[in-house]
Amino acid sequence: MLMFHFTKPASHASARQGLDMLLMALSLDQPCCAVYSGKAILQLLEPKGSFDPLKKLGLLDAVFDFAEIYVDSASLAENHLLASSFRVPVKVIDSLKIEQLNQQAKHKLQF
Amino acid sequence: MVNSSYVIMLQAAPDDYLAGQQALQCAQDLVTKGNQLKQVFFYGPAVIYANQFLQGPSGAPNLQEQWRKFSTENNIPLVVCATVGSQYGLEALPPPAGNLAEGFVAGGLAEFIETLAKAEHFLQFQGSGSC
Repeated sequence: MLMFHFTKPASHASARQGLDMLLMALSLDQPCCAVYSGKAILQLLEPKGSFDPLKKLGLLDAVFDFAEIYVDSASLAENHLLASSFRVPVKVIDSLKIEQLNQQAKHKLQF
Repeated sequence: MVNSSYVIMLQAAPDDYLAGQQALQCAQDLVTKGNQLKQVFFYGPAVIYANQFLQGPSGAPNLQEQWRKFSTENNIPLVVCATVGSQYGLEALPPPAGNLAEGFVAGGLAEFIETLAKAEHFLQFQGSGSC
């Protein structure tokens, strides 16, 4: 399993580059999970402006039926957000579960 | 004898000398110890390494040349992401049609993911500017 761990804000280029890589991995039928923590959880919100560098986020669910999107519960609380705030379905997990995913992953990619 | 297989991904821009040198040193150590380095993948700002017009400031280490030398001596592919490269002004063809530096090959994410999936270990160098 490839674990994509997103930690950068939406404005960071690596957010888009990591998403592109995740989409490619899914298109190649690689087992994957995506974890969002820190400011990266803001990537999952609808954009405020007209330009949306992460518009492909919708493909995760719509095209790949990808359900392994996890959000760190502490980051959610820090940013006063709810799981229902996001544009894709997510699962809220704590740091212990994130560490478990980390242990299960063959490779961890950080963006 | 091959010990383990590795893939390295470098994301730091060439002017992040510390990250570049760390990645290169790591690659050299892996090969010296008998490991198989399947690929060094240049992604994000690191795609600039593959631009033949890359010029560092006077006195700075020429990491592009050092990567090329390492690749040649050890037969390690230096693969640059063509899509991200185009966003950084890289025309992924050798001169005169493009500006792809000698020793680098343009590849895609598919090739990288397939190589990664087969590798036992993955090492990532994001650089000091990746906060």
